[in-house]
Amino acid sequence: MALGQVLDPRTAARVESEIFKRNSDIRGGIFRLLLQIALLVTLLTLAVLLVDVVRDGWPVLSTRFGDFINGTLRSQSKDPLLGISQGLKGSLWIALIVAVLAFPIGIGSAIYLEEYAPKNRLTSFIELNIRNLAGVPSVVYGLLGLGLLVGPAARFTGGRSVLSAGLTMSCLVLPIVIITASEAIRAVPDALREAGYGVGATKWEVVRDNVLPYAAPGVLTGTLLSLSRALGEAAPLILVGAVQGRLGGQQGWFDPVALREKFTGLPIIIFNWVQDGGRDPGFVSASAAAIIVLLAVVLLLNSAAILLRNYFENKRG
Amino acid sequence: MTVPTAVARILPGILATAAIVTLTISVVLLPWAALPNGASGGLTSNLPWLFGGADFAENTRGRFSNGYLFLALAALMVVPAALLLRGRRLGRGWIMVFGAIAIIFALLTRSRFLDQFAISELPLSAGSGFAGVIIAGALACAAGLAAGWMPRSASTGGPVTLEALAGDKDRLGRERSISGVLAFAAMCSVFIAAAIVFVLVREAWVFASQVEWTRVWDIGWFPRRGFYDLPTLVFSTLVVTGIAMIVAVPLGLGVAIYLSEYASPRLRAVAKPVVEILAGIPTVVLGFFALLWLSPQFVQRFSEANQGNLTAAGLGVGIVIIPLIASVAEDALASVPRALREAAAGLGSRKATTTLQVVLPAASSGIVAAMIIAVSRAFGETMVVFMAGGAADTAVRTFNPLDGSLTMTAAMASLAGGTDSVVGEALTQQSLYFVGLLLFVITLGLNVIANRIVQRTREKY
Repeated sequence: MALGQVLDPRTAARVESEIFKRNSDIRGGIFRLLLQIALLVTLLTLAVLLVDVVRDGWPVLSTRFGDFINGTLRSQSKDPLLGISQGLKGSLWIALIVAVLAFPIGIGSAIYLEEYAPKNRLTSFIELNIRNLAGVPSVVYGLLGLGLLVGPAARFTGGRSVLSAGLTMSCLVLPIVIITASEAIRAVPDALREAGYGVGATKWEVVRDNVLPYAAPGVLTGTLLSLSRALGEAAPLILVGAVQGRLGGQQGWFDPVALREKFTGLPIIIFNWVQDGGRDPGFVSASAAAIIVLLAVVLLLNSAAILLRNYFENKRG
Repeated sequence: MTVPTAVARILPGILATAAIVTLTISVVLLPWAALPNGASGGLTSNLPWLFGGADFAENTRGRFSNGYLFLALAALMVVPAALLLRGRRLGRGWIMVFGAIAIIFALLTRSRFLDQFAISELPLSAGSGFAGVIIAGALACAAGLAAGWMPRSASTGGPVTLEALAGDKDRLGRERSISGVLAFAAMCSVFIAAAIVFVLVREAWVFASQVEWTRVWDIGWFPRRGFYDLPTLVFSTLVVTGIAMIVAVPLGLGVAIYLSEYASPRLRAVAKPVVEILAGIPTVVLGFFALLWLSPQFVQRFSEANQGNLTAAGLGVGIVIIPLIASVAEDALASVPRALREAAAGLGSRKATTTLQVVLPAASSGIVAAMIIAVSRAFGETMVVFMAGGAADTAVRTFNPLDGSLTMTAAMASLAGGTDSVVGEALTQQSLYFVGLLLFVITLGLNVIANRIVQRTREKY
């Protein structure tokens, strides 16, 4: 035995047992167990949340799904016409406005900052500003909408309208779009750009033909995530003045005149029904059913984004 | 970039926008435009300013209506469309001409447009200007990007001349206008930040200069009766944030360390997306969960509290920030160089020792940044505390986490939600902005610190 020749027998035995002993690291084991418990509790929270919501809301969805989707806001939870169509419509319009306004500006900004901007103080100020905007609480964006779009711009936006809400939401998600798109563009290997310049392409042609196709999945991930954020946010809508009671005088689904009308959104309906649940418990299950609809949309967008990102990360190694 | 150059760069972009918008509308909607007034159903009734109007008829002594003008315009626009489709280049001059035609058309139909949207005059105010810049930015950017994709004929063949070596003028012009449009888009975010500060400071200044300051430090938050006790809001915000951090720091850090140091790649591939899904759950859903499940199951079981209380709200906010801490801390752990771990293992330290005494200290600044970001998020979280915090629109000053109270954000939400129905004291509306400014300054400060730390760690490794 090699150890025995160098060390005295007692030390050799000790060293040998330290090396070959099993389960000796009890404290390490406990630490590992604690970490596992943390992960388990986190995952369990998500599971309990989903089970709780589905248990509360499923009876409504399974018995009267069509009526619930087509119904409107009512004062009694037993009303057979109770439903979420107005909220769906409001959220749909908001998502549409966000897609039209925030996506072009966000992607354009990201291209500018990553490809065009000179390295100077103005650029680093813009970048710092975007990072800070991403951390501004959503309720402050609501104040922006209330103070600037609802009041002074009432002649343009129609006051507490879906247009004000959509503009506010666009400002809210813009930093997210810019940051995710910037990351995607930054990840494009320089060799691709140099190859483009090498064959005589201009800057924009390199961006268009080499950079953007490579960065597209990452950019798409960012847009999906920001869309789901815009659909789920409730606080700015409350401040901009989404209707929290009954809502009358509705236009068709795609009538642009509705842009300047009063509105409500799916998250607002959920919030509202939770509050009404105090006097009429039937609203709690209606609210849970609305949550199931909202979660279905939001989680679909999120998991599409996550899967897309993972797929392309793996593909490119 | 000087101002005139900036204008010279942006102007072609704006004109191109107008031209492309008109071009698209005219090509897509040509069939409807040709129909006489009233006969085309939906579009005529929806967009009379564009299709049905008689403005132009008045100007041309009843001979034409907008529809005919539109038809002529559309016919004109067919020329550049055909050129573009055949891959011919369209110089800046052409774009300017069509942009100018589009703008003249917009001016001709202006009064009809204003009637349609019940606008008595052109809406010029700070808010409209803001909305206008955002919308113009989006349109210019979309148009700029779209124009960038239009096919161009490359100049090929022929002898090499000085002109050929100087480059294709159209191509270079396009480069300039696109970079101008993109710079304009990037400035939009600066503009939004400026607008936020402007709105908050303007109204908060009114509040600060007119309020009786003794009422800002009094029994509680009764804004409609003129009592604006800021300590009430700040204390309950701190209570909620504290509870949230107590819950979320161990869990979030545990998840981050486990996923980064211990988990097998397979487990990681499953667990990480699930944690991200938790991050994507709308806060209004967590408010529902905190009020209707966490509160009865945890808080009310062990105490006499009402259903809505600050502890339940804190637990809910904790769930909001767990994924945030987990992801930022995991990034920090992942950026610790592998060599440090290998060196520790080479010296014979165990896995737990390596993690606790080598990796965690190396990542400590990133982890601190994660906590700061989480505190800032917890401060700004609105829906969970508003739904589960247990106070509707007023609150007495309290330090007891089992009471219901209003945090800064919840106070803002309740004030804004009620402004329609209840008319409060003169400064009620302004107090909203004052609290908002306070919240904005606090979260901005925290974020600036956290960003700086993250930036510095990124440079270190």
